[in-house]
Amino acid sequence: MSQIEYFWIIIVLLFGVVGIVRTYSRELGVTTMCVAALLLLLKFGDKILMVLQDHFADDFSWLISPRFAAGFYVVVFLLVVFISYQGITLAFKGNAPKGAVSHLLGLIVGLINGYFIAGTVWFYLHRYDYPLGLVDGSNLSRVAQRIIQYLPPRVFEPQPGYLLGLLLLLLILSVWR
Amino acid sequence: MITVYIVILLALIMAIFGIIGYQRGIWPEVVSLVVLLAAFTVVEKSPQQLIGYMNGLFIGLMLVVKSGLNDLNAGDLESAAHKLRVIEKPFVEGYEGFALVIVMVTAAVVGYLLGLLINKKKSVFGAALGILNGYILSAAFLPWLSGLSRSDLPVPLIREGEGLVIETGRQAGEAATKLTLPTVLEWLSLEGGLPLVLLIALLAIFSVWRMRPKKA
Repeated sequence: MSQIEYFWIIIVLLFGVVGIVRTYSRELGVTTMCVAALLLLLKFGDKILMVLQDHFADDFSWLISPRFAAGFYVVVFLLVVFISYQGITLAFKGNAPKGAVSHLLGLIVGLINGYFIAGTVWFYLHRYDYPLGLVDGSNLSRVAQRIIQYLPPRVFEPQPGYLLGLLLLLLILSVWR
Repeated sequence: MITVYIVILLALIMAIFGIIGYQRGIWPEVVSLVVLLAAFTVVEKSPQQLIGYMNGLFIGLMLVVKSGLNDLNAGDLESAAHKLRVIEKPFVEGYEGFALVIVMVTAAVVGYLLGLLINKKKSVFGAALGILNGYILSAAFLPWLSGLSRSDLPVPLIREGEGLVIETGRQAGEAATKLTLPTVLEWLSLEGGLPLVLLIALLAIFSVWRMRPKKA
């Protein structure tokens, strides 16, 4: 019996703390990259996976395993997140003023990033029935099953165009100040 | 059984280590992780032996403090033996866990001090490693101090586990599903997440509007 939802909530909260420490001007850059990565996976993830499987599955049979599919989504997404935090950072122009409101904004934007990051990883692990182990997908609590309905890929899957609009807005805002 | 209080304590320790990890960056945290994992392996595999060593260390120190070495040097074995008998083992029965706490805290301090030799660079992945360090530290001594089953806090390859069994938390979570939060979530995820997108957009606009331009 695995309490993945507690783990997820703790991770999201920790991203909130990271948001306070890093300030929201940097965190918004991560949000932008998360939105871009999610859009990429929603629009092209299946297609890229299919191309890989069509061309190389004869030689590499593990390409058609759920473990590879889940790993593909998770690794691509986390790679983009890693780059946005550690490598090429898309920090917004301008400085966040000091004060409680800025800390609050940092917390909220950090929580949104946590929702995107931890939520996307959880969704793809769940979609492929937790092929990496540690969690028993058939024994999730009601809370976990309910949260899964609100994870980012599930919410935005019907209309990825909204994410595109949000991405464009964030890119414009990134050079506003 | 894990209670909500233990979950909060665990989250608190992990959060504190996460913040420290963020400030220190990746490499100092990697050093701490290696030291903590080594200490954890010893604590996990041979706790009784470790407790024995800690008792021996304490007795040895007390013998030195009580000038037992002087007695030995002077050839007064009777006096030294008497002093040795008087000293009580500190880590026995309910207090055994404290020996392991001391070992793990010492390992954490050693890891921290070694990390000081490496240049700091703030990093979110340092925070992630810090969280992991906090978990390992907690997994080592929380079961000893709280009566928790050790399998509740597993560490891959070192300690087998059944995952978190949080009955109280589960009940609280089940109750939470009946609260209004799901209604808000349902509303936010309507129409392909349009309300959520609008909320994030408004938040971003407000945040950027509050920013001061950077000085040239």
